[in-house]
Formats: sequence, structure tokens, C-alpha cells
Amino acid sequence: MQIFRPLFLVALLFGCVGGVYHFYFREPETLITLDKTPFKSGYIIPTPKSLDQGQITVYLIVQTGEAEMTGQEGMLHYIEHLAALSAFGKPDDAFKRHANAWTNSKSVGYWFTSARADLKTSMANLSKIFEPFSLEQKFSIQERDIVLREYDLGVANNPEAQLYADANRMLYVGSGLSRSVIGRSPDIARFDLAEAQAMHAASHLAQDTVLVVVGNVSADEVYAALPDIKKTDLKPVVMPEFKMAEAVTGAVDKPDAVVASKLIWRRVFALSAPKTFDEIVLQCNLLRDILTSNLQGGLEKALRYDQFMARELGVGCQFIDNQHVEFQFLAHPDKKVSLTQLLAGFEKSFAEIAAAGIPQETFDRVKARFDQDWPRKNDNIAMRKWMEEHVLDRVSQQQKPTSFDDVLKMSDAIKLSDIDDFLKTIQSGGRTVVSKLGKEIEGQ
Amino acid sequence: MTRIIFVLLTLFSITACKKAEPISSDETSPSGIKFSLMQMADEENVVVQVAWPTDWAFRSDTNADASYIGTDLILAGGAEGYAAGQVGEKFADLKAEGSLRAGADFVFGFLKFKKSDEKEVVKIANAHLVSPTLDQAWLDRVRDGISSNMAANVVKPESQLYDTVRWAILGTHPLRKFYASSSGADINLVTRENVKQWVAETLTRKPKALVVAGALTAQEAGAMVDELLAKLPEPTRATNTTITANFAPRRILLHAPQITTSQLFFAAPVPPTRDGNDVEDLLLIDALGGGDASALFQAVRTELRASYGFSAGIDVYAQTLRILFMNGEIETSKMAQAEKTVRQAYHAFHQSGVKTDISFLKAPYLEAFESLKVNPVVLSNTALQAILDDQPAFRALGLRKELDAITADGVNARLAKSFPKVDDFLVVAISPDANALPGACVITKPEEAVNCP
Repeated sequence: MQIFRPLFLVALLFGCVGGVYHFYFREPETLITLDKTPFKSGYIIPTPKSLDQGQITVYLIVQTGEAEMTGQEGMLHYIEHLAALSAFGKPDDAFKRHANAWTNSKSVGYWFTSARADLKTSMANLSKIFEPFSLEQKFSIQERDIVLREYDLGVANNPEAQLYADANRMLYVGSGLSRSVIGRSPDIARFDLAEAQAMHAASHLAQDTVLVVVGNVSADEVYAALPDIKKTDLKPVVMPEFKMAEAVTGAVDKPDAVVASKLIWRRVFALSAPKTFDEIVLQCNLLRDILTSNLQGGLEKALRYDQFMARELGVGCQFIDNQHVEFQFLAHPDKKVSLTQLLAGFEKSFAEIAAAGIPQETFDRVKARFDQDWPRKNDNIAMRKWMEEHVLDRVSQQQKPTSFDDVLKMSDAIKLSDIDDFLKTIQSGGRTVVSKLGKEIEGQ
Repeated sequence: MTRIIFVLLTLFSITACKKAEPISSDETSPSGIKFSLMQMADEENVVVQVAWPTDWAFRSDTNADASYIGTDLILAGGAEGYAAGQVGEKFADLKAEGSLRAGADFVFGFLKFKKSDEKEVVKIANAHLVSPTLDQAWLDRVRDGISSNMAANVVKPESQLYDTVRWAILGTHPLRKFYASSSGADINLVTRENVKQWVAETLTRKPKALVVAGALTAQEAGAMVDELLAKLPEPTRATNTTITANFAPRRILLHAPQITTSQLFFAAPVPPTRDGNDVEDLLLIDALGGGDASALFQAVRTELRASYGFSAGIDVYAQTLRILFMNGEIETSKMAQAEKTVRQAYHAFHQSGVKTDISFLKAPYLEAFESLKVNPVVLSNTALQAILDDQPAFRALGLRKELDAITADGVNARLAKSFPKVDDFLVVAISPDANALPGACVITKPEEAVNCP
């Protein structure tokens, strides 16, 4: 028994170290790339076994969006409805699946969640999005009414959505990005089924589609469940290179809208040097955090706290390509401040901030906050969530996902000069649309 | 033999060092404040959730909107020793969060911070509770902001529809104004004195529930609770939130010629969560109207082709007043048929219930309930809700097991016993066509609903 106590202590020590390692330092499951599929590319976002609830979600994301279409705006969204209804089929009474779809400027996505045991069936069902519609003609034509109801919900009673659509036409004139994803109600009511079928065949190609599988599943299991896809010689639609229209400032207003008055300032500008998608997103997000702070160099400090002009404000960016970005400033004026005064206040403060640059102290303070926002690598739930959001966002924007480590490295590399350069480039000009939504002065 | 013992001991010690699950206990602080503690070993954040009882929205001598303005003003307008806008930056540096939210019968306070920052964060939070500046300029800004949003909302068809529903159910009871989107005139009457009165009578050292989650001992948590609520007054009045609602089945149509779309709303009461079986309710609502596989979606969109989506949910007007609703936007020419279709679909659902395999209905909640073990925000919030229903805080930790134990028979028994029958529903519609719902009581203003037979 002499040996027992030392052995016990050693065992306890090893056990504890092992336990601590397991729960705190274990590498999280990383993104798995699928290179043997009939699709353009494929990924598995693994669900840790501890979180596995026996379900798998399969996404098929066609990397062709409304911006690449010609003809009637909104037709691709109607096609998405018909393809989804054909593929998903009627749900059974036991609610044994969840399914939905979306369309945006750069992609059409479909997803299907089912029990792990049904993976092969659900992938076969989902891949019917590449086949001609299998719906009754009457039902397909009625689906235009459903899209009209969706239009009623999202646009008909939403002056801001209408204003954005109008502003897009001016901001992105000459580019597919000016097109409305849902279309206009008179057009929707007249969509032609034969035309939809033809456009579906041209736009929904497996070789232009990315497969994303989320769940506790291996690559071999996914390969075994892959559907047979008929090969086609059709070439995917490719978006023409973005060319920014003339760098002028225009106005798209909606003074009669019954809304809380709002200023929306949007500028498309060319970067001083090309940047990757991730670099643009990271730098934009950091710039947003700085400008919406009550610190020296913040628009929030200038307009909300010091000058009492904007009761609420926000900024944001939209990636266009590696050389072009859209910057947005949105604000509700304070009482008795007109939208014109708010616009002048914003332009003056923004010019001053861009000219002076962001103080190092502000940059360091906001960057320290920014660095704490990343999920911890030993936090399986947060890491899985990050990975899922990152992959789906990048694929939907026709981009390749980047590893967590590489994104972190890019974040670490951001310097104050990058942010100042970004600010100065926005300030130096671009194609700009200023929108005033609602009354010039609230309450009058 | 020694090797076997070694292996066994190693396995034992791994188990011994496995991350512990939260432990729930009921505690009392040194100054006598009762709270529930959710001890979470190794959790770096501390979360505090507080629910103060209030009947401000149930009284006719108060301005309901003062509570909305009060919560926003305390957060935005600064406090003694802290200028407006200063604390937001401090909290951002510390990755701390704080909020106040006005509910009908409770005001909810939330605080999250790293344990190492406890002293600083709790001192700031206490200053805002005890000595908020309630600066007039910031009060005007907050009030004007809410007022502008209300004025914009009031013209939306869905806001007019919901106002009509509340006129029908709550009538002239003051609680209706608390939810109304059309109280623009009232909100502009809120004064600093109103807000001061609301603060003085609401934020006391006697909350109905207080939950602390994090890696704290009972002593540490008790001291922190005392710091947080220090110098707050004792309550000066007992709250009374009894209310009688009118759920008589009626058919009402709000005629709004200027709008372009029609909407249909069904409402009937369901028992409060304090009576139990609320997890079964979640599953039933999903099966009835929670997605494209649900009974209502299939009936109204897939079969009738009348709507983009028709869904179901439970609205909580007050702790004892829960409402089952079914609603959606409907093509105007199909309104009358849609009403019949919804009734048929609900009746069929009420009769047949869910099928024997309910695993897929449970699935979305498995991960959420599992996260209770590791997420101090979700855990403390769930525990707080349990306490408000006079249930033990530790119910939150057992929700996963509750869910596992639920069967299709149990769900269907709940449906039969506690969900309304199809003829029990109040039906309210808004439409540009006055004849869209034949036989309905047609009105042109939401307040006229109170007179509909």
C-alpha cells in the first residue's frame, strides 16, 4: 500500500490536468473543406458532440444573385420561391424538417434541417433546386400573389425600404447593384412562368453552388449522402466588373413619409489601394465603433453629446468589391433641428475628424474593446456560432471563408493609419446620395 | 491490479475535475435582501437580474409613458458624479452591460460585468439607481424620440390593428395606454416630476426577485447585492395588478380606406405561466403556427394562397394575462374565406393535436435549455422568470429534464385542457374594404371596438 498514495496523487494530477486541458485548451473543431462534391466547393461546420441534438442543416448557396440578372427585377426571387417549393415538398405531420430560402444581390440560398438519419433524403430533396419546377402551373402562377403579399409586408408600408430602393438606382446607376431584389409590384403581378423556368435553368447551376453542412457529421458521411446531379455545359453568370458612376452628389427624398425624420447619407468610394473582403469588413467595423463613440474623434461625441443635433445616429459600410465600398451615415435629428442643419453638421464634423485624424488614445481604447469581442477558442458554442455566421456570410457574398486565426491576424494588424486613410478616402469624394426621410423639422 | 487501480483512479479524478454544473441556492444579504444565487464555477462574468414590482401602468392617476421615459433617461442622462455619456464609454472599456426595461407589472434591471470589475461597476449602477440626474434637456430628448417613433407607428396598419385588439380586450383600463402606440398626446405631457415619482416608488430595496449568477460565494454575492441596492428607499405602497379583461368572442373590422393591405388577428386567453405546462405551450405554438410546416401556414398560405405567412404566438399583457394569438396579412379579396380557413385549421389542430413523434418539435429548445448550464445571462433570466411565477429558481436548471420528459400525450392533454376552443376567439381585422368580413362590427377608429357587441 506504500505505493498507493503516490500513485493516487499522480493519477489525480494527471486526471485534473487532462480534465482542465479538455475543457479549456482543447482545439475547437475547425472548418472542414469538402473537395469531392459536384458543387463549386463545400464545407462542413462541425457541431461539437456535446452540442449535437441529432439534427443536420444543409445549405445550397447558388452564387448568382439579382445583381447579375437582366430583365424584370425580382424574377430571381420569384424563382427562389418556385424552386424551394419544388424541392422541399409538403412537410409531414410530424414536423420532421425545417426549410427556407433567401435571395440577395449576390446569391440565392436554400437550407433544409432534418434528422441525422435523413441526411441522404434531405440532400436529395434539396438538390431538386437544380431541376425544372415540379409544381402545378396554377400553383406556380398563384405564387406571384404570395410574393405580392411579401412585397406588401416588406415594402408597401415601409417608406424607408422604398427610399433605399430609389436611392440604389441613383447610387449604383449602370450596375446590377441598382436592381431591387423583390422587384416592383406591377412587375411581380406579371411574371411569366415560362420565362421564370428559363431563367431558373440558366441561373441555378451546381458548378456555381456552394454546399455548407452544419452538424456532427464527417466528410465521408456527407460524401456518402451526396445526390446525383446532372452535369450541364452551361456557364455560370458572371457579374461584370463594378464601375463607379460619376462622382457627384444627388438627392432622393421622401418628405411626405409619416416616419420619425431621418437623414441617410450614402457614398460609394474607391479605396486608395485594393483590400481583401475581410480587411474591408474589419476596418469598417472598427471605424464604426470609433465614430459611434463619445470619445474624441467620434461623430457621436460631436453630434449627439457636444452639439445636441442628433438624438440617435449610426454608421455602416457595405463591401462592393476589393476596390469599392459604400459608407452610410444615418441619424434622427433632435427636436427643432432640421434635416438640412443635421446634414450640414454631419458634413462639417466628418470633414474635421477626417482632417485631424483619429487621436491615438481613442484608437487604442476602441481597438482594445474590439479585440475583446472575439469568441474564445475554448468556447465551443461561441466558436461554432462565429464559424457558421462567417461562412454563410462570406459564401452569400461570393467570397471564400477565411480561417478564424487568419481573421484574428488581420484584426491585429490594423493600425491607426489604416483607419485614418479610410476616413480620408471617404472624405475625398465619391458618388453620393443624400436622402431626407420625413419632415424637414419633426412636429411641424 | 495496481494498473487497474491506477486506471480507475485516473478516470475518477477526471470526473472529479470536470467543469461543475451551476448550483442554485436561496440567500439573504447582510442587510436582509433576499436573492437567488446561481454559482457557476470558473465563469468570468457576473450577471445580476432584478425585477421590481410596479402597478404604475395599472393606475389611472399616472402617465403610463413616464416609465418608458424613466428607464431610458436613467441610462442615458447620467447620475451624480457621472456626466451623460460618460458611463457608456466606461462600460464599453470594461465590456460591462447594464439596462433597465419597463414591463407592465415589473421593471427589469440587468447588469453584467467581469468579476474583477465588480466594485467599480456596482458603484456606477448604484449611483444611477439612487441619484439619477434626470436632466431636463435629456428628458426632452428621450421623450421626443419616443414620441416621434410612436407618431410614425400609429399610422401603420398593424399598429392600428393591435390598438383595436387592446381596446376590445382591455377597454378603458389604464394598462391599454401602456401598450398603445397612439398615446402621442400623453407622452408629451410627461414631466420631470412624473419621472421622479416613478423612480421614487419603483426602484426600492425590495425587488420581487433578484438573481445573481457567477463564480461568487454567498457572502460575496450578498455584499455585492447590498452595495447595488444601497440607499434605495423602502417601498411606500403595495402594488395591485389585478385586472379583468374582456375576452367575449366578437368579430370586429376596422375600416381603413387609406391602407393597401388587410390583416386578420385571432385572440383568446391561455393560463398564466405560473400554472405550469408552459414548455408544452412552446411546442404547441410551433406546431400550430411556427414555420412552413405548421398547421396555419399550410392552411392559409399553401392551401388558400391568401398570405405570405400566418403565424401563432403567445402575448403577455401582464403576469396573469396571457393571450394566444394567430395573425397574418391577408389578400383583401380572400379575407372572409381566410377567417373560415383559420377556424377550420385551428379546430382540426385542437381535435387531433400533435403526432406521437415530437422530437423535432423539441429539437430547437434542446440547445437553448442546454446552454442554461453555461450561459449566466440566460440562466439568471430564466431563474428570475421562475421566481416571478412563485416557482423555485432552480427550475431553470431542470428545464432540459422537463423537456425530455414531455410526451405527445402530455402535449395533447395540455392542448385539450388549456387552449381555447375555436368559438372562443375574438377576431379583429383591418382592411380597406368595409365588407371584407361579412357580419362583423365595422368601426373606423380603434377605440370604437369597446362598443362592439
